[in-house]
Amino acid sequence: MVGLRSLSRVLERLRELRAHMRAERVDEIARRYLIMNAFDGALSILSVIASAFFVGATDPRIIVAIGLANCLAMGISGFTGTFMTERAERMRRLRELESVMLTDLSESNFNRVSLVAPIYVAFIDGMAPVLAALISLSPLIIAIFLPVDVILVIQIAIALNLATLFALGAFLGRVSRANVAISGLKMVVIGLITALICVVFKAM
Amino acid sequence: MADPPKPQLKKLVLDVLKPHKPSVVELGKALSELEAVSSVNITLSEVDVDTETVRIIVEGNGLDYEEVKKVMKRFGAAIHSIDEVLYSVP
Repeated sequence: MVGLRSLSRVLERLRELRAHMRAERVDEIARRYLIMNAFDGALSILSVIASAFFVGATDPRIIVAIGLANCLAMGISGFTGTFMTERAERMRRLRELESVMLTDLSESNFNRVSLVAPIYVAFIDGMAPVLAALISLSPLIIAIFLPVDVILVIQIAIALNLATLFALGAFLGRVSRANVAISGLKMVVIGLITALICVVFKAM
Repeated sequence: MADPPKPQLKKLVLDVLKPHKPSVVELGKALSELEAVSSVNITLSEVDVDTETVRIIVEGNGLDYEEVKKVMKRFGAAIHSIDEVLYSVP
């Protein structure tokens, strides 16, 4: 009975904290970071795959190694950079509110949100490029272990990458209540331009 | 002979300064979930750029002022004054 009561109290506190995070528009910020960094991850992996393909490096192990190192670095940089930036902004907001209220807010949910929100947003920011890159690299990872045609696998990887870009654009279109297909296609065009630039560099 | 029942805290009227968000709806919900609370009435009396002043009336049978204060703290609200207190036998 006591256990149930304390569990319901914990759940109540979590619900309250969630309400505070909603009030501070944390989800909106996380969504922004998710798209921004997933787009970064997808585009940089596209350039890695396209460049490797056009310079003739068709060993999937090399492409996967470069791609994974790339997205891991982006993930770490995304997590740390976002955490520090968000934390600084939250602390500034907390101090401002304290000075307006003429009260100490260290025991308030505002203080908890100023720690939880940066961790949550930084996690989303760090994971986004890793996930976006892993989607594109997955056929190449499979190609390391299975005897498949590498050229076909690279083509599938590029198609998956463009599909990821389309999904990100479509998601943005849904957020802005614009045309989902057009928004998705815009992202695909940006991806194709990136691939084209890689081809041009290869030709030089 | 049994002791006569002791008066209990039945009503609290507070003048509170709070940030705009979370809204009075959230604050009211948190207060209403406290033990012994039977009604919560929050009236907006003044709005500023970052804050708002509200008048909160909490009613119930055997209210715990310390618990009310804790909720206020969690919501970053500051109790400016206690305008009315009612103790009566249940």
